[in-house]
Amino acid sequence: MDDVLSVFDTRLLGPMLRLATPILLAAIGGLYTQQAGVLNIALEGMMLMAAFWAAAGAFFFQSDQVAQSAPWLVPLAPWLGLLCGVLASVLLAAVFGLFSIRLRADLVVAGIAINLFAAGGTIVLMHRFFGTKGSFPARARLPDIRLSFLRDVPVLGELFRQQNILLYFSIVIVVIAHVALYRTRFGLRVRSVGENPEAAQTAGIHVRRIQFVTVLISGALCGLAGANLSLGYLGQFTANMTSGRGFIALAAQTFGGATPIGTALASLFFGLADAVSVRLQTRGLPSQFVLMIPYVATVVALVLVSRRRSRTGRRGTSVEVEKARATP
Amino acid sequence: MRRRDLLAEAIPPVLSLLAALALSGLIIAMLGSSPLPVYKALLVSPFESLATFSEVLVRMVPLLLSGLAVAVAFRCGVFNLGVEGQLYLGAFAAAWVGFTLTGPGIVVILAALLFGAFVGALYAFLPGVLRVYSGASEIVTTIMLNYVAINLTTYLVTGPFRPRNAATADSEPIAAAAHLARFLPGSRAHVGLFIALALAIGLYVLLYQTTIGYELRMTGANPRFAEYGGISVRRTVLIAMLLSGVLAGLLGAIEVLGVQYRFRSGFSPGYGFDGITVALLARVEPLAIPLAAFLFAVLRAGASIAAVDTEVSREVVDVLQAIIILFVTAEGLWSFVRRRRVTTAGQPS
Repeated sequence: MDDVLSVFDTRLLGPMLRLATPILLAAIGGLYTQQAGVLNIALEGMMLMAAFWAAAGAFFFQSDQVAQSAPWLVPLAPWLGLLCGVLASVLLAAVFGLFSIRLRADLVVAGIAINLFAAGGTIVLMHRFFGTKGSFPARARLPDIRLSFLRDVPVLGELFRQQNILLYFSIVIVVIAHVALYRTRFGLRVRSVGENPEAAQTAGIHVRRIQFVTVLISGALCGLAGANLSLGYLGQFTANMTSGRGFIALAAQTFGGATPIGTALASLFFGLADAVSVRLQTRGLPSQFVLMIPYVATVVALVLVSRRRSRTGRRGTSVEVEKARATP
Repeated sequence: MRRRDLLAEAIPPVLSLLAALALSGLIIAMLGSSPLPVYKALLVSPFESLATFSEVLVRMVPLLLSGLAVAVAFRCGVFNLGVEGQLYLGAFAAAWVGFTLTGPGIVVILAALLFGAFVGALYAFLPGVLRVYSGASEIVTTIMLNYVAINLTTYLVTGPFRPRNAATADSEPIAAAAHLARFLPGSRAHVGLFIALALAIGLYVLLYQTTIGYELRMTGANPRFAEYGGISVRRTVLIAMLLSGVLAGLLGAIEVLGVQYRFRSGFSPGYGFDGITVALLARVEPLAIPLAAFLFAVLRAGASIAAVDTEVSREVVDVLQAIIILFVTAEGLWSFVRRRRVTTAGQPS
């Protein structure tokens, strides 16, 4: 037992924050759509597509061709990769929005389709351009930021010793989400669409447009999340590297009570589960059990949080969307 | 008039399939390959010889069962995205029976099928219970449980059930007597196909001729109305998940008894997700699912040929199926079909 508990120490804090970052970014994306009454299953696929294009973009902007024709672009490669990832993800989000919101495909089914598209599409592309179905190097990473002045502070020192720049982005994004959703007119509209689409429609709000915009926002945030996976630490793209994180992000958003701050805390919890999993892999436990930890933690978290909610709440969202569609 | 209805029902899937083929051809062309050899490999090559055609029949079995498993949950308004995990556990359970139980072949086969179905059902029951009694979204929990099941079965064949001198993550082979009979000489096509076809008819009868089927469909159409009409929605959802899990477990068991003859870690190339496409392409009608499964088996078998003959990898079929799903379920695209149906129904016949 002591051995198990000894896993938990302050050295877990850094990995926790690092592994929470992609989940948090995608979860905030899911939060925007959820607030507008759109259940977003497509987070996983958008993130995976972004991870691929971020790595491929970074790779491309370091190629000999670019080095010869526009050498000043080479040092910017990771950032241009990030941009490629975000663009690809937003494009995929637009397809998701077009089919689910505009053409009234079932939200869940359209989301599944987007995920399949990304899972298959990234492999087809990787096979075509990199001649492999496993992984390819991006040959670049987004920079880390070391807050060395915190080095000797007990907890903060461990937390921020070496974190990717996207972690700091994500903190800003949580704050922006909080302000945007609760302090702006846009946020009011989003929430009223999610709360009662018919009333929103009557009040002159363009329900579908608001929903579409939130889907695009979720695409952009999943773009950052995906880029964080491929360009944040590993500097490579691996087939299916999201491995369910999009769904964990969806769960984080639910677990966090559909608020930005709650979602951030929930993401930290899932980051911790991930960090424990990584840590235990070096402890001689069967790796398969260790790998299950994040998924089991997600199911447990969902059960815990759902017990407290009214049972109509979950189905409510998709029913509301149906209602919104029925109104002309 | 019935014939016209059938026609109207068939228009979206057929057009979606064509649109998906056209769009994926465009994608292939954009990647710098010629789409024509890929089309040929996908649509023509599987029919060129008995060897390739029998492979279509082999692949059709899991696709058909997965389609049924997804469909029965869909009809009740629940999403079982966990067919993949359930089929892994069902496959392991069947393999375990196959390599431990000794006896006449038919006894071992029946025991393996039953145990596979039982374990699959149990594993589908879990997210069902979580959904019904705590409200946890089955969409997320079933996906999460897939990862758990795949890891768990890999642990079982590399840990406690690891055969001696094993180099790969496979279980011991099952008894030769427990192999499902093959019906085309010189091919791998096995009688599991007929079991699967019988189950499709069985699901049709269950859905349309029995009380429980009625309750399932009512719950799927409108849960509040169903509850109001005296149907226990909780019970019905649990039954739908159990049935879905039974079919997923049977899928795994039949793959082990008919094709693999052992449990191989990671053997499923995503049958559980293919079932979603198959079910939707069949418009969630049990009797149309064999047709959709056959079609999809042709594409899957063709993709393997394309991977050898062309520079396009077989995952292009995943892209194809994503496009099919998007098109076939986009109500807004098919409103003209529906409108026509309404007008024909209004006319005196």
